[in-house]
Amino acid sequence: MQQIGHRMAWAMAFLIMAAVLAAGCGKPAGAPQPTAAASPSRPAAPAPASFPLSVQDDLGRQVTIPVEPRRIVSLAPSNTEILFALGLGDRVVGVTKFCDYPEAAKLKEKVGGFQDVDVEKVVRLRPDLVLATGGVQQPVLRQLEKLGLTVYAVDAKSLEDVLDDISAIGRVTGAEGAAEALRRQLQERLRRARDRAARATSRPKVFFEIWPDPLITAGPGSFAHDLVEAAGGENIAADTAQPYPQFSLETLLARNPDVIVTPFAQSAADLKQGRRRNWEQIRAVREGRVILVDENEVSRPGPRLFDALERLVDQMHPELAAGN
Amino acid sequence: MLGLAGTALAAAVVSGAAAGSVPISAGDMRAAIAAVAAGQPLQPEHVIFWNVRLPRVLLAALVGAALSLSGAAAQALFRNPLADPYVLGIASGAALGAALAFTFQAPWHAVGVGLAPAAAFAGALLALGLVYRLGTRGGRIFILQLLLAGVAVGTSFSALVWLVVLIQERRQHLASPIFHWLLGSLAGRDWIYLWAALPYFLLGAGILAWHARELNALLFGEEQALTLGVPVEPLKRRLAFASGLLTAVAVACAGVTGFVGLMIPHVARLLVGPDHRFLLPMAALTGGAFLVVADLLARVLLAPAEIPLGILTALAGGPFFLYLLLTGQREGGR
Repeated sequence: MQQIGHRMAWAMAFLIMAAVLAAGCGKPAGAPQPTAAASPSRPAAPAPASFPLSVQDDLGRQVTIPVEPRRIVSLAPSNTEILFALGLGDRVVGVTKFCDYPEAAKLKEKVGGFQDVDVEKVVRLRPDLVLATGGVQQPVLRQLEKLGLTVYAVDAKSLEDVLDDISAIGRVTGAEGAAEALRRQLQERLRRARDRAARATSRPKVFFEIWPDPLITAGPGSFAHDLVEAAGGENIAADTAQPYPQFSLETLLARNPDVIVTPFAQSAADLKQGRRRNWEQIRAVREGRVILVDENEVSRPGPRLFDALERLVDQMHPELAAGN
Repeated sequence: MLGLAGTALAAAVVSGAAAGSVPISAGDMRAAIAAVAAGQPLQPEHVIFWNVRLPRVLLAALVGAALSLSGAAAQALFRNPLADPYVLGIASGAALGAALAFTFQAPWHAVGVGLAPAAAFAGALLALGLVYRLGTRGGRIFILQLLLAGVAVGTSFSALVWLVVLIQERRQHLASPIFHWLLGSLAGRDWIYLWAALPYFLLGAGILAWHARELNALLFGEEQALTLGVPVEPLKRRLAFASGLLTAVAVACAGVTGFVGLMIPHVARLLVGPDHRFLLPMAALTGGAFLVVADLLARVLLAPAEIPLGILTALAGGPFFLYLLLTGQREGGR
């Protein structure tokens, strides 16, 4: 009875471990290639899907979509952003409370958060397609399916996965044309950004701040890490085996990054004005190379990841701007 | 025995200062200390040792000592071997303060310490004040009532912590800083934290040291203590205050680091017996050494990533405690 604190701590230890395990299992050994389902539609111009349509989703589930969806509930901001980018905004009838982009998404009915999805509300919206994600959402997903809803899950782990997911979402919504156009456009931008990064003369060491105290950074398995590497930087936390590890301040100082990326305006200001103790000696701080990014842009596997990537390439390589 | 424990603490501090994710040679350490002693500016390579690692190691010793003293005092006050520093609900108060601080986008360094530790300390004191008031009637502390108040306040504050965590789940991975904090960590704690914590530690530890002899009398029960001439009511008030203050300062610096405050007093009791004049310093020394080693492991096992401290204290502490309990019983049965 005296150990309320401990119990809470253990519950959280369990949560963290579960998260770490889930993240660990997700990417490297990656049992089923998550986006295999989307690949067949990729090479040639896709034949328009005829409904009912039976496809495999990112979680390896075989999903049958009886009719072309007219009422879609999106259970992730990234899905919402993709749906709107495909011009399907008017078919979206429900979103999460985190879905704040584009502006029009804010006007949609809210069905809860990621894990705390209000299942009753989803059912009441009578969706003919629920667009979910993997990970923590899987229990909800099963619950919705038991209630007779059609649930399709995308679960991107990399920039390329996002492209595949755009195709997949286009396919299950009968919007292949728009999806292929968007996909080609983003693929071209990704290629150009990588080319541009490859032309850079420097490969800066980058520290990506996720949280300052306790110090948490982005490791392999996070989009932040992928963005840094794709933009021609070297993530100094690349040797941590977790997507969001608590990081050693000693190591940060010893590895002495050239660039610090942070999603917090306060952190950027503190660093630029030398208000963070012991960080003054870091090269990025001395040279004022602190990049402020939009947290949603860099963490949501949707089209805006590519905006973030293009900006990062330029901000991490000032010599490119001078050259062009 | 105390000398041995003192040596163990010193050895722990030295190895804690020597080892870490970045190797530092003995020569570098001497050079850094010499530079500081001579008042010269630090070389960049010495900053890691002097500004990052050393204060953290010393603070680990202080937090370990504070939790162990607090636990020993709580066990005497409640005359219950299962009492620990968190029995008064203080950790949950601190957790609530920290969780609220985390809802602000970024930390705030205006007073030199981060917003989360400052808010945690405020939350801990709030919980202590609340429990203290609820457990007191007419100037007297009722032990059972104090215990129940601690449990009730702790549970309520824990619920509020979860509520805050859920509400502010707005950003996908924001929950994780709170988890890391709640599991305990000394990451990023430098000299300012040590200097900020030291006065409270000395006050709490001083009160307990001053009353060490009366703590012994309290073990026989309040009536017996009274007949022995111990002013029981003021003693209980001071014990609750000192134990609470030590917990508050420990939790503010290091988050919720479990098991230390429960286990170390028992370890100390097995080593030097139940006399608080020896038990308290023994608990402080072993607790300090234990937490320095735990923090060392937290820093190096997955380097350059860090493991939350609370996971290690419980993981290492549980089996060690069982071992001591079993061997101690065998010897006690001779």
